[in-house]
Amino acid sequence: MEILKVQNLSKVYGKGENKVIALNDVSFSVEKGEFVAIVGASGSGKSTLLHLIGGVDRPTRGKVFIDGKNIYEMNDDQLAIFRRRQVGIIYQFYNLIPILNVEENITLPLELDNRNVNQKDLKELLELLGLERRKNHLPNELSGGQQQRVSIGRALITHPAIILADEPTGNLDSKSSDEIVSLLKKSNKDYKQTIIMITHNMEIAKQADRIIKIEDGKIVQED
Amino acid sequence: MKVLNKLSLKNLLLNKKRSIGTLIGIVLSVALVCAVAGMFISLKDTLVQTAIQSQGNYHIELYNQNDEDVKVLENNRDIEEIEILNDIGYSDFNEKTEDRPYIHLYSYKDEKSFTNLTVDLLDGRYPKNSNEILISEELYLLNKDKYDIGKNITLNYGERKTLDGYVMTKENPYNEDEVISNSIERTFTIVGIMDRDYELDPNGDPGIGCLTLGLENNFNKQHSVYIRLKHPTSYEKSFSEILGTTFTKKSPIVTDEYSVNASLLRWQVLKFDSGTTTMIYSLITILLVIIVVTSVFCIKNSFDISVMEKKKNYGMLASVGATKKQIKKSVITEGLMLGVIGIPIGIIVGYIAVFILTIIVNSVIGDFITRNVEMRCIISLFPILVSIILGVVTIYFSSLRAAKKASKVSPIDLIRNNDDVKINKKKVKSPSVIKKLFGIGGVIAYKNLKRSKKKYRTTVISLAVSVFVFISMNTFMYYTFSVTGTYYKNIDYNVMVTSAFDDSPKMEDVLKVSGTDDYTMLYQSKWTSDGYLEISDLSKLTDFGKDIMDEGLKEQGCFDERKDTYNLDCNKKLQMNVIGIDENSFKEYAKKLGLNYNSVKDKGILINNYRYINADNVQIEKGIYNYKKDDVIKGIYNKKPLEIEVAKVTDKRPRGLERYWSYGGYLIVSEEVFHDLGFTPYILTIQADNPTQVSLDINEKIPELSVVNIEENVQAEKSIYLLMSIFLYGFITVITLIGVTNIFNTITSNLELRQKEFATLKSVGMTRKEFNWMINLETIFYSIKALIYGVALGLVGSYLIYLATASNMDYGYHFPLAAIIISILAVFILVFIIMRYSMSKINKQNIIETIRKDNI
Repeated sequence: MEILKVQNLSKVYGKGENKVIALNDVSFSVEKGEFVAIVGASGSGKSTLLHLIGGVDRPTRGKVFIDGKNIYEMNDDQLAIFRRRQVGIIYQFYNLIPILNVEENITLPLELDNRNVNQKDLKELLELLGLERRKNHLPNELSGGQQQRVSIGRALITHPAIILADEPTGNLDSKSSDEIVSLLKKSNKDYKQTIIMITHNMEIAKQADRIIKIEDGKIVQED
Repeated sequence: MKVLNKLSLKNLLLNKKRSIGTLIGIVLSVALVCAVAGMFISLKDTLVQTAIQSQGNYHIELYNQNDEDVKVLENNRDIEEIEILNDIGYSDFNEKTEDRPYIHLYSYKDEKSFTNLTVDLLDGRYPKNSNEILISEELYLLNKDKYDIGKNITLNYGERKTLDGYVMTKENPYNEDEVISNSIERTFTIVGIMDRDYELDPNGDPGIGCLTLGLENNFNKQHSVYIRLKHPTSYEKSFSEILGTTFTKKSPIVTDEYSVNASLLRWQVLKFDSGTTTMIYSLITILLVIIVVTSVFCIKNSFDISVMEKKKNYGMLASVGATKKQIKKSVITEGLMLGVIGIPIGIIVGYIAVFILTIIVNSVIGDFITRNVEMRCIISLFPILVSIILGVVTIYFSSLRAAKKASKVSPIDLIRNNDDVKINKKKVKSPSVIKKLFGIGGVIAYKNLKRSKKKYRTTVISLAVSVFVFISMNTFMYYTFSVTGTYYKNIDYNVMVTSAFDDSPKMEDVLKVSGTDDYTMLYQSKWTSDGYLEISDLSKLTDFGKDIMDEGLKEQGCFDERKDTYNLDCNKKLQMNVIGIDENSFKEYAKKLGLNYNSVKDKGILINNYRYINADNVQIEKGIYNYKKDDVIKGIYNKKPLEIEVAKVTDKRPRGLERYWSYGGYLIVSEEVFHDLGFTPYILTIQADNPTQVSLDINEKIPELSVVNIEENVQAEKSIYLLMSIFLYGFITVITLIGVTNIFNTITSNLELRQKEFATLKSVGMTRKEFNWMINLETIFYSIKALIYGVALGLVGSYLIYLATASNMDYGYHFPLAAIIISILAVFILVFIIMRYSMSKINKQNIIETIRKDNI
């Protein structure tokens, strides 16, 4: 089943002489339960692609379908609601809310959506993340790896259609990186979670089901 | 320029908005200090000018100095200038009046004395030689044709002596047996007319004062010497030297030998004892403390914020090897650069404010208070110095604190922008009510407030301080205006006529002159020391009544101020004033008190309250007697027993008696009914159509009476009221502006620092509506918190002000409800506007760009 479909997606920043084509007519699709890695040098357009898929930015041209819905037909508020239900985003710098503790950060998308937190699910998730004993800690009391695990938890809690991870290991040492990648793989297996991950580390990318390589805003290789 | 200084400058230019915010804070604070100090100097100058205008530009006058003494004084180095006045003598003249049968001639030695000692010229000019004379207006009015400018007058001046050869001075009233001896004839040309000068021509002097130039006293060769000191500040030392005895602040200011110009010294050196100077000093101190606290807080806050925002820069500097010292220096340099721009602008703005205020003062007050004296905008060193010192010190210490903060944290913390705020670890349970009422937005807002208290502390404190200052100042103004406003409140007449006891029968003529029906005539007994109702039963007095009777008798001795005579018998006794009132007015008065005229016309109405200002400068007002309605007051009146029944005990006074207070109280009776008690007119009040004309007419036709044009006084009072409003509201406005600048700085920076957090919330799916809702809730939460603190403190402040100013008067505590409501509305409106302003910027930003912006 096709969960994500990207159609002729282009993004142009600036105008005239300053014009930068970040993404040039990109098309591909992702099946449900797939773990896809997008690789490319810095400035190749991979982050732009991820942000367009996540609906936090709007394209110059082209369409993105998630679960069969064209996300750019929605207005900002609809998109925000769609995002909290169907998309989980993991950032390189975690971007946790400093005043909320681990548990509160993880359940934030549910709370925003006015949904009840299933305590059993939460407990399971915390176990999976290895954060049961840290659930009342604030982000600044955690290590980088732990913070990134919280942000993975935040992405997983809503069981979204798709998880987008933007260099999730870019800020971590190799031990923590390994932990994060195996966590992503585990959630991909256990929950049949679709994951799209950006990285420039080929070692990590190799652990994905499929690698898409981008250069100068174009897909140059897919396998 | 060193690279660090360059960096400081660049920082300022790049963070324009923050720099301007800080700059506004500095300018406002400096301007306010400068304006208050400048206004103080200008006010002081006005008071000095007024004192010179009314008393003359000298510090001490020495009597009876001979030529030798004058020479010694001329050589005294402490003395800047001396003026010599000679008492030439008395001369008979044709227009003899009963108690002033002479012309009393004086002469200045030098022409400059006329201006230096401010002889008040009404017409013409000052004399230029000993053949010219300046006459008193009184003389001119006696015979306008004979004593006019250009006419000649021949005087035979000599010494007043009693039959047994004793020389009489201006202190001795006219005695029928006295003669003028050793007289010299001299003819003068009248060159000018002056206002009566009570210095030369005091009450009781039987001669009308006139002035010439350059004549010597031929009888005793004595002079009066007016001395102006070089250094008035050290007046105690100078006076001691001049007088040959130790002179201190507490020494008498008038003796047989000298008289000190206290009103000039008081304002010139501000050291001379006086309740007013103390009051002005404490007021200035309170104002300066409020300004300093508010502005120090505002400036300190701006620096904290700018350092917080630029922490990363300092981290970078540290990581490339800048020492702590260098970073500190860079922050302080930035602060001083702002000071170099802000302080001069502040001083200029402050002086512009002083200039505008003096113009307003001159136009509002006009001639009411200070005749011929205009308030000037004096640019002097003191306000400028105070502003500079205050500005520099505040900026230095604020930036020093910020600099320490910037240099303290390790480079990596700075770079990662961690540790901005210590987050409260404790578990915060948001009450379920909040979730139910406000949703998740409310919960996040609530937790934000609870967990990062410090982030909000500055905003909450700024708001609370502003609210506190506003409520307190408001109460202060309320009581100030209540006190000043009551003086002429509810007065329904515009001319008041009084007289010396002997002249009082003439008051009845006034009614013919003024030709009005709307008048009230109050009468007092025509018997002097027997003309009171002497209460035999002292047990009818309250404790307060007993105290003030003792005190009153002690203070007055046997002198009766009320009738300007000495009581022969000064034993302890209580004399109630029996005041007659004309029939119509009695009817009106009874009606006002809710009494039936016919049933009370043969009774008395007892005015029972007495008001005085005690040694602590506090006004006290209490009842004197225990009498009640229908009691009979028994006593002795004019040596005969008298009984009058009380119709009512009240503190409401009849027209005219509003400002008269006597520890004996007043018993008001109908003059017609009690005619046999023997009444003579006391106070006449008139509601005239044209009070100015009526006052002038009375003045001209019956000059013995003293006339007060109440309407003029009401106008003057209104002007003062208006002026005080301008000052106080102006002050509040600027203080509030400083507060607003501060709040603006904290709120905008707070939101900017949290941009990334906001972007994250949006990226995990918070809609714009939910986001705005959350921010609004946060605003409401901390506004409420600030208001609770601010209003509570404001109430404490206002109660303290009430205790200090008004608790002993008959004003109850005034709950500052209006001020509280205004504060609440203002806080919410202000905070919402500032929030909206910053939010519109945040909402415009791209989520992703914001999230990535701060990452390395």
